[in-house]
Amino acid sequence: MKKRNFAVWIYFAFLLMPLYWMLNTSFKTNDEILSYLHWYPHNFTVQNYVQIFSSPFWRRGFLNSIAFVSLNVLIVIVAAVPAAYAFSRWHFRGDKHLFFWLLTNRMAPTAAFIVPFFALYSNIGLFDTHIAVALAHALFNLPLAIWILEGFMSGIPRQIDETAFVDGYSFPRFFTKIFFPLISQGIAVAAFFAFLFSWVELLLARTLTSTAAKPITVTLSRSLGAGGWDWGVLAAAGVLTMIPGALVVYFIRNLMAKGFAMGRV
Amino acid sequence: MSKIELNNITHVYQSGGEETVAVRDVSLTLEEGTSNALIGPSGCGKTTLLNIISGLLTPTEGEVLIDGEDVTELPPQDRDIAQVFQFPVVYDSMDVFGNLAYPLKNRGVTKGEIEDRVHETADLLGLEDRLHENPGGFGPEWSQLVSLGRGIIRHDTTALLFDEPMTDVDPGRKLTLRRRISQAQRRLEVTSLYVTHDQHEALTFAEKAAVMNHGEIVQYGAPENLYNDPVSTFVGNFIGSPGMNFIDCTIENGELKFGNYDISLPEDLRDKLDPGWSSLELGIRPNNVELDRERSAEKQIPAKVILTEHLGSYQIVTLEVEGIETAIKAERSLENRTTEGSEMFIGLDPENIRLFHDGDAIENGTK
Amino acid sequence: MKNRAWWFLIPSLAVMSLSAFIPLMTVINYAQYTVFPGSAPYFVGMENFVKVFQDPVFLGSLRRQVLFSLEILLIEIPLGLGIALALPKKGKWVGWSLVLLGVPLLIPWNVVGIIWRVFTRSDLGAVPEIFEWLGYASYNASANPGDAWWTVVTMDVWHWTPLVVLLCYAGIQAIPEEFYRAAKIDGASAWSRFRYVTLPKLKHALILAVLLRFMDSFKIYAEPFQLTGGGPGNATTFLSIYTSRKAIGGFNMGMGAAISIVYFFLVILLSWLLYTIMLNVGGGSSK
Repeated sequence: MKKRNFAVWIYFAFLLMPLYWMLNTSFKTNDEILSYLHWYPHNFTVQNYVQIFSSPFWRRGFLNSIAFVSLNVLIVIVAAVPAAYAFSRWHFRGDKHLFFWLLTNRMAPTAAFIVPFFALYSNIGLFDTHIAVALAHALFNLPLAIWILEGFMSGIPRQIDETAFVDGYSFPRFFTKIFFPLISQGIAVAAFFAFLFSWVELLLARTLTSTAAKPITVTLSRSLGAGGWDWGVLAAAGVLTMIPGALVVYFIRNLMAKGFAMGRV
Repeated sequence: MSKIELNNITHVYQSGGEETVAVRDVSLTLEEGTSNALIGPSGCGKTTLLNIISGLLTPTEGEVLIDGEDVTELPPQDRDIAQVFQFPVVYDSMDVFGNLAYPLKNRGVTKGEIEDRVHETADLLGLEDRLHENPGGFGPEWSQLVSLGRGIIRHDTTALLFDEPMTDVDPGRKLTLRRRISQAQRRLEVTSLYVTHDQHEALTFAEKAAVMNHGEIVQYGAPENLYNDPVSTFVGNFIGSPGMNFIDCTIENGELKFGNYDISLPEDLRDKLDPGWSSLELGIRPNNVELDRERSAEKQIPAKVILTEHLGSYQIVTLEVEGIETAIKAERSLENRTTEGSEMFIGLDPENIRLFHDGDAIENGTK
Repeated sequence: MKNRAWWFLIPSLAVMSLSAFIPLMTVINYAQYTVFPGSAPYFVGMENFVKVFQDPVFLGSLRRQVLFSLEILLIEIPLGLGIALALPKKGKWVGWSLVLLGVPLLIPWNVVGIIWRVFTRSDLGAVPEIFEWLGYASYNASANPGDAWWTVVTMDVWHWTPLVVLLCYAGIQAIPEEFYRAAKIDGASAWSRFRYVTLPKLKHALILAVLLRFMDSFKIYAEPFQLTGGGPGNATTFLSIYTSRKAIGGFNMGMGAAISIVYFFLVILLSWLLYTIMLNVGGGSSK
């Protein structure tokens, strides 16, 4: 048992180290960063963070990211739930093929799609909007959400649907009052993955935006440009981008533990 | 095949600050080679008791002895116990042969002997034709047979424990599985304990059954004993479907009075009665209630049918008798079936009557 | 009744047409032309595709990509499974462990690249110092191809192993305790219990983990781009970096499109192969 725990501790230390180093760097001045290699800031400063918070440039970046990620999660869930229901409850011509086609989109290398995306969205006038990125991310989020939700829904016996209809429930009422609460955990899992993959994606987000909807990920990559390397600010911004993710995980940690204990993979 | 003894087992669960007594001072002996059942309503403690016997739980107090040896602290694998669980437990990366061979392989048995024993066990359980199939695709009744096979293939199995093994099995297949389990148990003479809430299952499988309620074993005996001579109204009611009829009665001048009627009692029973007793109950099984359309010497009590239920080859008739609060159930064969509203006459043979005081049976000489 | 199903699919199909179908058609279309900006597209049929496979830079990227994905799988899957087995199943540490595991997964991918850049740069990071202390003084991820390669691999292991851990952990939690009890009663050793109870029951989790990791590692872009830019030279130029260079920077959009199609097709083909192989290994039921 001891040996087991030791291995886990080492692994966790491995996970924490680069994060710690980033945190460390973010609280140093550029001078200290470049001149010394200190394991903790000798001249602790929050200047880097101040610079970010006071800059509309960075602020907007964060807001934009949150905007299209939320939009994406919404679109994906709204579209995936009925689709997953259809796949789970009904057999129709071509259903297996359709399902498979949907899954292949998950495999699409986004690098392969940047040009057509750029062309398409420019043509329909959605370039540099949040909705463009939200839709583009649906390329891989929607199939995954349908796959996850279909799994959860198939775990619910058809009798429940049938009983409700026999009892006189109309479909909308059945769905909101009975079915939805049962799959809420599945929706949480699907939403989590959609949030995850949308928040972290760079390539499409960069291609489809320029100024108005520029996400924080792009802001970060752009600031590694001309004008010298402002490592302190960069590190601080990086730390800030980790926070939403950490918060999300923190709040759903009990849900995750329970969901994992229920075991539907 | 070993003798299993439980001495003064008590088990208390702690959860939060609360204590629940699951098993209360239970002592029980399962003789070598016998088939036994443990029945009782949900929450009576039977699963806890089973887990104590198998070694998954160590009791708060008391000891478990196998062939006289104290195994109370030993884990299941050291007691050579075999257990069949509520849902089928099979290794789905191996075929049936592999599953059956597994316990032997782990104990270093030679390949040749494994081969022999697997075939022997498969034969006994009807699995010979499916030896090279993968049990992952089997229905639950077959998977349970594979589970059972793994339990009996080891010749040193001390006891076979069943924890509601029919839970996942379709009603239509239960009979076959039950039969095979009985066959195996009888052939191998393995001490067995079968836990279930279905008494029909238990009473067809077991030579002796223990009835549990609220953590205590209320009665342990052969099914006929439980049926005919229940030691309490609880057992009388629990065993049999429907359970025993209970009618409040009093004693007057050595005669049993209920409602407007009386019955004279046999001498030995009369002696055991105290006229001062108030809460007496008369118990009689529905199939012992005599019933006829016409009045006769034995069937004097007029009654009216208020409900009939058809149970395949016979009817359960519920009757109302003037002056008696509780309705009485009786049985009627299909040829003699009756309808609601009919007026009939009931007779109660003193031989079939059991008396209870405060819920406990009053012993009579006819035991 | 069956047609009702299609109504339920309309939102998804609408979204996918904008995010998948139309772009895909566009790419397929372009791929058959030589398209130079300013001049009219010139139909060349399959010529672009042939040229793709003749390009040594493409082949080099492909080779590197396959090697990379294989190494990733060989490290991340056993490591993830091992950690999942070692994690506690109940108790207060479970929640916190899941949080720590979740954090690397929720960092924007280019930030991951930046983190590792800061962590491994000679003038900024702790890693070169650690290596020096261990006796390897010449660690340099921007100058040595070998160092760059292994740094990228380590970065990916750091980044994505938690996903494998989480998937395996979920699978392990789903195994009812009775199976282990029965195995113990059957006299099985710890290794035997792992091999005959845990591993078969993790089949689906492992398949999912392998497929997701393979697909995503094959498409990897932002992290190595931030860390090494594809270099030194072409040492860490994987397929997606190559593709985006050609598609954006190159002059012939038709060629860029052809490369994209080949790339997509390769991912699908290899994923399908992997999936089929894994499904048939070890027998047992599938769904």
